[in-house]
Amino acid sequence: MQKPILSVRDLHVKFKLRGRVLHALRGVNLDVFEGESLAIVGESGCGKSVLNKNFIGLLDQNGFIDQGSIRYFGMGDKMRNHPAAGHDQEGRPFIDMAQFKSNDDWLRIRGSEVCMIPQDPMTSLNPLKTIGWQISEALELHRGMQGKMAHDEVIRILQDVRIDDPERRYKQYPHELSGGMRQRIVIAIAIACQPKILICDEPTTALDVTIQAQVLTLLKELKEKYKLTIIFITHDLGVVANIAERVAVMYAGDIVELGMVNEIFYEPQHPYTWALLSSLPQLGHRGEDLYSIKGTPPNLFKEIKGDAFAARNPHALVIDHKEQPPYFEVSPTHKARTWLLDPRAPQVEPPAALRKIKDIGGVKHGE
Amino acid sequence: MANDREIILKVRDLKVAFGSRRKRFEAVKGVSFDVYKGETFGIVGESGSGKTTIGRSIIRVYPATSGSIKFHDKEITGRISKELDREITNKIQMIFQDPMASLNERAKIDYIVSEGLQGRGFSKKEISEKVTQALNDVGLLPEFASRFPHEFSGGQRQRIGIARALVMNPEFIIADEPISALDVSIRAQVLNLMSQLQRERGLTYLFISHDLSVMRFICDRIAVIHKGRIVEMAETEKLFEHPLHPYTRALLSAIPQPNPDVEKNKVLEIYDPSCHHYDRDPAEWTEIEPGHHVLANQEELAAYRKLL
Ligand SMILES: Nc1ncnc2c1ncn2[C@@H]1O[C@H](COP(=O)(O)OP(=O)(O)OP(=O)(O)O)[C@@H](O)[C@H]1O
Ligand SMILES: Nc1ncnc2c1ncn2[C@@H]1O[C@H](COP(=O)(O)OP(=O)(O)OP(=O)(O)O)[C@@H](O)[C@H]1O
Ligand SMILES: [Mg+2]
Ligand SMILES: [Mg+2]
Repeated sequence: MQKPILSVRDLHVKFKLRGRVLHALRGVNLDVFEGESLAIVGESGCGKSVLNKNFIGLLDQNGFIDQGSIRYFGMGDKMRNHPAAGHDQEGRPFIDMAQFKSNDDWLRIRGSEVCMIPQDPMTSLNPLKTIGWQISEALELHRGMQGKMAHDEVIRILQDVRIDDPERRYKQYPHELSGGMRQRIVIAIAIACQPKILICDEPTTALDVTIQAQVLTLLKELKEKYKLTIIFITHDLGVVANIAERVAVMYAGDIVELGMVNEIFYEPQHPYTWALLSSLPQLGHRGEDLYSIKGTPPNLFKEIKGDAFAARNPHALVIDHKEQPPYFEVSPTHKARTWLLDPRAPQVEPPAALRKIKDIGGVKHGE
Repeated sequence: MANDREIILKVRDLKVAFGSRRKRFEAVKGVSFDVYKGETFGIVGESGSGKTTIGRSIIRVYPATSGSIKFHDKEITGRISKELDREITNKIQMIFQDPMASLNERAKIDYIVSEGLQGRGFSKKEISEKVTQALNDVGLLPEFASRFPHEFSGGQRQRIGIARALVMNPEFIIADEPISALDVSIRAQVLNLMSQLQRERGLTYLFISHDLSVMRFICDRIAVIHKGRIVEMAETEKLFEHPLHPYTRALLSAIPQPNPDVEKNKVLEIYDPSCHHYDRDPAEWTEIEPGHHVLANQEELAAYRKLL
């Protein structure tokens, strides 16, 4: 049995916005296992980034945890005297990061325990400092390296992330690099910290496919080498298929389906997952419109009744509009929050097009 | 095939360099291509290969070091008249790659989207209607107009950038990674929207992207660029079915496929530029079959012909 390194229970996060309250996370439950790679997918605005920002204490100023716990097991009992420390049923020591009050608490987590490669590379780089300086700083802060040793390690890491001519790049400023190179610098800074959990928020969108493939391979190597736990947020289902062992599908601030990567791609259960997979360009026909989900996601300023996806779900049942479905277990590793899995529900077949997923990327004619 | 079609943009031997003499770096090393009216022309290539730089030199943000760019047969590099400058700012719009960095953080969305319309003789009401329409076109609610950029998710910000280009009612859109931050469903919507606008308004796109699956779906023709040079250019299906240049082959082999079994058994082709022997047999830009160009020397051409 795998052990969780991070355990999220009933997490509710809200934002105050000009007198109104936006309910961004609506009771998320999630275990992240030590050494696994978990991908989080879901529509834009469904809360992927907000969820993960909770793990490093970088929620925006106007956001707050309303309810719930985030137990981190990675530090053993190193913080045992902290008021947020405790032991789970099996006696494993944890620290509940949802109870952190001060930035000092987070300084013990950020970088050395949990590190995040943020979605917008430009905003996390300092425009006034050279690339080399910024990576060295991480090395000094988290691994106590200095001088020539730090310099050599920076060059090595730059090579790791496939930056050509590292000695020249060392002295350059962020604006002198292309979008994809800046992205790799941000990855380099995260690697320099050697954290236990690496959160990658869309880390490869700015990369071309050859470099992307190299970065994915690199991340998988680092994962093995340092027993790294990886949480991967991405819209690219091809990347998910490549790197993820497990996949969590989010919709409107909640996880609606969770399973092993093959379960999600080959036996998806939630109508939202069906819709998501149906939008793949590989399943489209040139000259025709691609499948797209009708309607807009629910307004998170308002209370959501029933299944949040009901309004856009062509298969919605009456109960979907009334009551939120529980998780139904499909296999020991696979569960989904949809009334369709209730034994009383009518039999609904997933869209036929999804059967073609197994053929995607197979041998094409002419090759 | 396409010889009789109207060329909207003609780029010839374009070079763009940065920095002063000693630190000079040539990002674009002589690229030539035509974009036909009403088509979607794709540029794909390694990060840092000069794609954005090409886009930015078309909208005159970066000056061309040499070469020529003609829009509707009129030269638009170097010094140009005020009228022409105004015409191209109207007719050519660019959707920028980095949505966060390209949006003014202190301005509200309605201002950001309407910025290009200001001072052009539209009434307040007209501007407001156009903004509402543009937001609607990209699937954002009208009430978002009074919010600030940081209050949006990444994909929402990307769509603001698209709305900002659409509101100008341009003829030619340079879309620099317009879909990279979008989720698959919104991406499908945006692609459908782009196709719809193309059908209705005869728009022409220069589409820059890393996502070859999307490019295969949307582009009529694709140019593959490597380190500032175009190495191969062809109609989309031709390129996918008969990739010739080793860099193109490497790219195609690396496309992430949404199929875990395929991804697990994937074999990457690695491109090693030292496989060329251009010192003894220099490469030339050659049309190897109608509409299919490749950068290759005689020896390579002979080998490529066997693959066709
Ligand atoms: N500082 C904030 N103030 C108000 N609302 C916010 C704030 N940050 C995020 N939100 C809202 O919270 C929701 C979740 O946002 P989040 O950034 O987590 O989305 P996401 O799933 O990461 O989307 P994307 O794929 O587009 O990055 C969205 O509705 C967003 O508008
Ligand atoms: N303002 C600048 N000053 C100096 N060098 C620059 C500048 N802008 C771009 N470059 C350099 O020009 C080259 C091409 O950059 P460009 O942004 O065009 O690449 P790209 O193909 O768009 O890459 P990506 O896919 O990563 O966005 C890179 O080596 C980059 O470092
Ligand atoms: Mg996000
Ligand atoms: Mg670019």
